[in-house]
Amino acid sequence: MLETRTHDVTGVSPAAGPADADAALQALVERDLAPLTARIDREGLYPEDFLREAGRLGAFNRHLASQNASGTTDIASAIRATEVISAECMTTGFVAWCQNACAWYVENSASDTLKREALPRLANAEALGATALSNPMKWFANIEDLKLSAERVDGGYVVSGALPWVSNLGEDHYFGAIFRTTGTNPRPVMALINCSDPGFSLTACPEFTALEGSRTFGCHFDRVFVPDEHVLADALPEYIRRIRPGFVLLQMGMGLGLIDGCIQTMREANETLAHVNGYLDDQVGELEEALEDGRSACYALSETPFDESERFFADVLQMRLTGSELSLRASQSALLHAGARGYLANAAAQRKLRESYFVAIVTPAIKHLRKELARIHAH
Amino acid sequence: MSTETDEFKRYICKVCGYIYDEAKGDPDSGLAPGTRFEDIPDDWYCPDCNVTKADFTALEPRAETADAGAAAMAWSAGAGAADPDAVVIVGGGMAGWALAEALRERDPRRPIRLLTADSGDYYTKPRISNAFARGVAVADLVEETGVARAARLGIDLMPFVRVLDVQRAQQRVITARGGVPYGQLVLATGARPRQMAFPGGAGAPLSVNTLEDYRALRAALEAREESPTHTRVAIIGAGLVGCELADDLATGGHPVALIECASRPLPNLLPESLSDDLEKALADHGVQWHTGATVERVEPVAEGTARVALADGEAVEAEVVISALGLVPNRELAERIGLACHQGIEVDALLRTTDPAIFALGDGCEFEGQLRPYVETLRGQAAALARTLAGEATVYRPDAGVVQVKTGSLPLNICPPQMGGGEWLEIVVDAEGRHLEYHVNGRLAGFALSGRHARRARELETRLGEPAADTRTRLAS
Repeated sequence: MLETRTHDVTGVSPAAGPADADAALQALVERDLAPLTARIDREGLYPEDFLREAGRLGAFNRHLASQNASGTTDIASAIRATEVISAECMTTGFVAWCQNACAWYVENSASDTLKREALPRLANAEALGATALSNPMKWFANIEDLKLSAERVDGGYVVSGALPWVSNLGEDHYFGAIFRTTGTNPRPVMALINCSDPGFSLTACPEFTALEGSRTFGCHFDRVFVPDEHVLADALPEYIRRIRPGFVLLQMGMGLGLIDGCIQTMREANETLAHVNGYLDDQVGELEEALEDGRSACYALSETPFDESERFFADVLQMRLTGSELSLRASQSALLHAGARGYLANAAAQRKLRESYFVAIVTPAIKHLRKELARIHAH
Repeated sequence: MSTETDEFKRYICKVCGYIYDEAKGDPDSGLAPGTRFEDIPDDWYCPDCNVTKADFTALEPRAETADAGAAAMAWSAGAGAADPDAVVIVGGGMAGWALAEALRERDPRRPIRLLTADSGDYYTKPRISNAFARGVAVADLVEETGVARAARLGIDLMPFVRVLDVQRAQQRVITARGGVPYGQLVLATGARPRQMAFPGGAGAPLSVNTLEDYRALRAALEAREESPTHTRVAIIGAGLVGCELADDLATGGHPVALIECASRPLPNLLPESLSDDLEKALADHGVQWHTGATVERVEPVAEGTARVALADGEAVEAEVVISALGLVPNRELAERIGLACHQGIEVDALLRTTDPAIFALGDGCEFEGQLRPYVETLRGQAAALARTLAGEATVYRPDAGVVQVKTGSLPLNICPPQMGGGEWLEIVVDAEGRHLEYHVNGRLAGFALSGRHARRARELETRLGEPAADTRTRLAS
């Protein structure tokens, strides 16, 4: 079980290793991102230049059939790009997912205005974007209430309320938000907001223990006008059914990349400590095998991103849960492999440990996933 | 604690969940311990997310806790420590369980792992066909939960998991719950009802193949509080399932219309005289027959009522429309991983697919060019395959292929002749049914029994191939 598995598999879907398919992105990660990783984590440096450059390389348009050269919804390829980034720095992998999710909302919306004005710029990271769906996702799962509300006015909505902790925000960044309309026919509506919209403000958050470079802010809506052309979806349940498998699958790039990075850390530790690390529970070979299994499952699920069945979504949620659990296992093992050197403030191992808890906590968190799976599988 | 501190209250930020505790105050923002919420100035901000006092509400701790028992944790059961020598069975229907049981009997120690998309709860599928008239509740069809059965047999059950892929070179099954290594893999993936999309906009008819399907059917039948006579049923297809359900639901009091495009029920299975008898027996129970009829449209006519329009201009109105158009083997996984498939997954005499480490049995497999979606078949296959997997290569020898038609109004046991060139002879015809035999060159090659005579199937089965006296009435075939 300690052997590295090969890729010469017969009769299965092509699942080239991320490194093969993404040499240019990998080179960019090594050249421009790796030197900044510790500062991103500890000082809250936002990797803006890297994001823009990665966008120009096509790292964020792979799941956007209207925006990429192949004209396909290639979720697997988008996951692989996020993997490559997350293996080095998961803060950056997380903002990459935010960027992907924001563009995914617009791609699947009915707004021609946004598809014309915002989508091409989101697809190449000329514009940056975020997802503020943590609260609505928890609302769908009966975990909390919607935090934004809106009045209908001539030509649009006026939105008020506040969201804590939305990431990848900045002066003119976009994000998708869901608010509940008041008055007759109350219902949830989703729209694309720009941080420069009048009445909208960002406030600094208290310091987090990781992911500090993700530009995470509190969002305050003080009667923000949202024109009808910026509405992503009014018939929200149908829209959510369409976007949710892709939304969750795209997150898998974070977990898979993190696990890959942990394995790398373990290998490095084994160069000097293999004679004692062999006594640890999770070895490189086992984790590699589990990582390959996870990739295969993810890429297989990515073949049908628009399967709207509950049965398929249950598989996607299960995949996400498995990814979180494996991330925790891998980061724990990485730190144990590295030993005291991994406990240094600049060491990758302890950073990855903190990052792995983010994978397990960010919506949908492990407890949220188990709650949903219990609901779906109950009779 | 003094009574004074007991009166301190707590308030929660509706935006981020920060809790303001009057006893502790917020010293960083200049609120001393003991500061009452109402005394907090309006320019105070939530220390974690910057909203104002207005976004706080009195904290009422949630009392309810999740009822997450062991079964609810099924999806976090790690696949990590799995044995690479395990027999992994994909499918928790009768075939998958029959194999698990037979293999455990032969080999008490071999690791066995059964993956199933549902709960794995065990039920005998043919009982679904006649549970209604006998008043059996859906829950009572479950003979044993999957968890209990797995524990009793000493196997690992992975419920609620679908196989996404198989890495044949590494012998690993890929699921969203992780990879599962196998020494030998068995596909017991079964078959599903053939679905036809009818125009007309009434939504897809129900089909009945799993306990879940049946639960939905029973809910539809019982949706109206009035007596069953107010819930009319239209069944499209008078095959085995269609005839059995029609008989069961009609006996249970529902008006049932049975629509069949052939001129008689089960034309490929029954000699004509038995088809006629079955048609009459069901009609006597109130089944309204539409033979030689093709469905053109299924359209909604009123809340909860559909109109099934037939090509000949007739129409049937019903509250519940069921489609029973036969089975299609589930061969998508096998095709995906490159195993030879025709109608079903092709297997050889040892029930091996074209990958020697992968086997198949049950409704999804095709043996000697034939699908045999019958319980007898899967039992025989499970017995042979269990021996093979236990190390004693055993050729599967198909049984005579006796098909039971469990129509209570007229039970039938048919052994379709496997060769032509003979003729049907009427051995007994009386008030209690018929006994027909198919003779080829003076030997018994098949039979068809109805009513009380159906009980003679076992005895006749043992006589197949033996010389038969040729003194009876010949029938036109």
